[in-house]
Amino acid sequence: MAEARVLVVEDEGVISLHIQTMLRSMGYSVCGSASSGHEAIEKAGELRPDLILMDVRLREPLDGIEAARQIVARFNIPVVFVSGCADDETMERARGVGHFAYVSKPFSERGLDSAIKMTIQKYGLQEQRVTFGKPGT
Amino acid sequence: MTLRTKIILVISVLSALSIAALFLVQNIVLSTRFARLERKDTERNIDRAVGAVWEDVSAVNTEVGDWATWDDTYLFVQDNNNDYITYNLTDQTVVNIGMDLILYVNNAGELVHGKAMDLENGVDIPLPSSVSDLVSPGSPLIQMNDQGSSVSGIVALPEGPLLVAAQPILTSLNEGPIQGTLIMGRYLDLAELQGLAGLTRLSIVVHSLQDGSTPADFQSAQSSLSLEQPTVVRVLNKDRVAGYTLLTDIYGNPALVLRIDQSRDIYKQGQETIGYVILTLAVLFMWSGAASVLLLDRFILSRLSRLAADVDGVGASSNPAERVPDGGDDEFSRVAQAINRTLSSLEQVQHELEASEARNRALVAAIPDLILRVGGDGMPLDRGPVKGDGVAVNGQESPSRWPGETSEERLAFSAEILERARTHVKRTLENRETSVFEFQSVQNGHTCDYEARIVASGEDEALVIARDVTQRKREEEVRRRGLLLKEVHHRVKNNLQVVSGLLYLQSKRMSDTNMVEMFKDSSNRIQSMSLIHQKLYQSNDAATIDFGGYVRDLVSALLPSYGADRSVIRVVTDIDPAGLAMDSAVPCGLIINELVSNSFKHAFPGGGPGEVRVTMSRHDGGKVSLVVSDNGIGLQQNVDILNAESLGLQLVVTLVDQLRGSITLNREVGTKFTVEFIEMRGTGVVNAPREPYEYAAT
Repeated sequence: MAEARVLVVEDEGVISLHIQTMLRSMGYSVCGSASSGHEAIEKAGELRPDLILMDVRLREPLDGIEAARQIVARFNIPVVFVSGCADDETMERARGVGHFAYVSKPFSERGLDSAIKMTIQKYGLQEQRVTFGKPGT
Repeated sequence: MTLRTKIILVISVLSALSIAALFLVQNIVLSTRFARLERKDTERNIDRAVGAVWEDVSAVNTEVGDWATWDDTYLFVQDNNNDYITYNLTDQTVVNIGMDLILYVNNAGELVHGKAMDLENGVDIPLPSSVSDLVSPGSPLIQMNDQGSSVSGIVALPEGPLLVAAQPILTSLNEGPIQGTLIMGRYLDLAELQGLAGLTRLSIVVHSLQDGSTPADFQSAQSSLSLEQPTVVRVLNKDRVAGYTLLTDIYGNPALVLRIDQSRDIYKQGQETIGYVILTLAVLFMWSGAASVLLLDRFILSRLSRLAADVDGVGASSNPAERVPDGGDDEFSRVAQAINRTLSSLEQVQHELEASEARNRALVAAIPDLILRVGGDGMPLDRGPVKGDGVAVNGQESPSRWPGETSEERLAFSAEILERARTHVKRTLENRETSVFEFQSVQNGHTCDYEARIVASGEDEALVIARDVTQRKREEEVRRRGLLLKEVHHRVKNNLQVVSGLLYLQSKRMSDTNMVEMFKDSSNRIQSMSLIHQKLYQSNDAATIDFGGYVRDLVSALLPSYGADRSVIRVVTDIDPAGLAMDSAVPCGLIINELVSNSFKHAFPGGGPGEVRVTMSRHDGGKVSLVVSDNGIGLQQNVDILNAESLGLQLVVTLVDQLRGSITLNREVGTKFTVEFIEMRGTGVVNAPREPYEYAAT
């Protein structure tokens, strides 16, 4: 499997750096980071990552789930949600986005790694999706 | 005024008016007709009187004819012999033939002989001077042109009106030649008039137009008489009526006014007839009016009164099934039947209304709100039932005022609240929209919150529904505080994760393995606290956490961080489902973190296989037992947990002390730490599975 390119979306800078460092130590390529929903949508369109790690709770006006919904709808990029606030309502909203995996905080390197691998295995890399035209092929 | 009185009054008035109208009509019509009859009768009698006069004239003319056509007269007018005078013109003869004047005129127009008589006394009198006018050359009396000539008529002389006739004097064989003219005259004096009156049975009076002493009624009638209107009729008084006519003389000029007067019998009979008719009609009207009233009373008014009494009886009766008697088949029976049908409908409606009222009252009673019906001025019209400890403070208050208007209530309901309520009532009635306002009131020493809704319920009235929302407000406040507390937990968790991240990032830049381990331990400790805050954030009340879920998440995070392979090291958790309060959860979490980390790091030096078990159980008196055990190589025998050098064990002992609990170590199989403490704070129950949970090799 080629090195997956990951966009990290986290409004807490230290945690974002923590995740990026963790991803790199696990062998992933961090192609960029964003600290808001709008920035995430913009960079997703610009960078076309294989996967996006998205914090559910972003500061207003666009939270992580709404930003992910738009990214999936516009760019067909799978999203792995990262959050500690995994209540039923949040889970339900996250399921509505479609492309969905969930990592609960605090997470370990192994837990994060398995969630990323499972998502890429399911939806493929960006290059493959572009080549074959639809997710999962 | 009763209907009977009204009907009697109306019939009486109508009868009186009808009689009056009939009287007027009869009076006008019949009086006019009887007056006309009276006039015609009078005119007919005038004609009779005039006819009698002319008959008298004719009698004079006849007498003249007898004397003028006589040989003796024929000779006398020629020779004026005395024999004729002596034998024929005796006073008695003249009296017998009733002539006042006899004149013999020859063809030369000369008065051959004349004789005047006082008939009353039967004596000869001298010829009046006016005789010369009768025989003057122009006098028509002496214009005898042929043997058949004759002149008769009236001549008004100063001595009085004279009935006069003249004929030519001829032989007894009625042959001529004419030798002169014989003129005879009879005064139309009182005696003559009496004679005429006797014949005609009329009262006849004659006055000459030249007479200056004519009575006033003659003068008045004379002014109306003319040749064109020779007759007039005048009423003299209520008993007599008179007719006047003009009599012309032999010259064709009006000469006399003749009057007849008679009793007004026709008029009186007319008046009597009118009286009889009116009287008859009055009696008829009275009789028919009385009959009408009697019939009305018998067939309508008495029935109506009875029906009214029956309806009153039904109205006064407390029995709703009471009905008006409705036997028979006439109009009143049908009215009674209609009333009964209406009463049945009303009874039905009444029942429905009562049922509806009962439902509404039950509904209002069931609603724990104060319900007031208020008028446009904001004053209550009535009110719903007083609710236990609601706004309606006591049950004796008048329904015509707001709660809060007695001195006791004023303490609870300030003037400001009442004024606000009235303002909202006014606004609602103007805008016809529901108005809502909230207010606070002190009830029995407690501040209570109320929400008042004002709804227009009529043109000039509204319903005020005040609800005690104290509990809702409290719940909202608790919820608001809970949300705030959750947010605080979320931020604390984030901050702890930032610290954990900083330690992680720092450890990535270290080469010393021991230092890296120390940073990892510290990071895990912070993560264990962070996880507490996350669980609190996710809990229902932000005060009690699902400790079983916490322990599972905690060991799930610790297992990989120490490189333990879950396929060879089994982790079993069995946590009492009752959650732990935060004061106990944080130290317990840190204790589990330290003891499980120790097991992962030291119990299985070869990597396993083995088992780590975490259990928590509750006992009587709030006692909690936390057991962390493994079946590894066991703690070194020289390690005294109360005086251990490792930071981990020192933390465990310190935290147990913080819990005011105890810790025991059992070295029989592997290592088994038992921590017991009394949870001082209340515990919440969370919905978590009781079943043992384990990280089993898959």
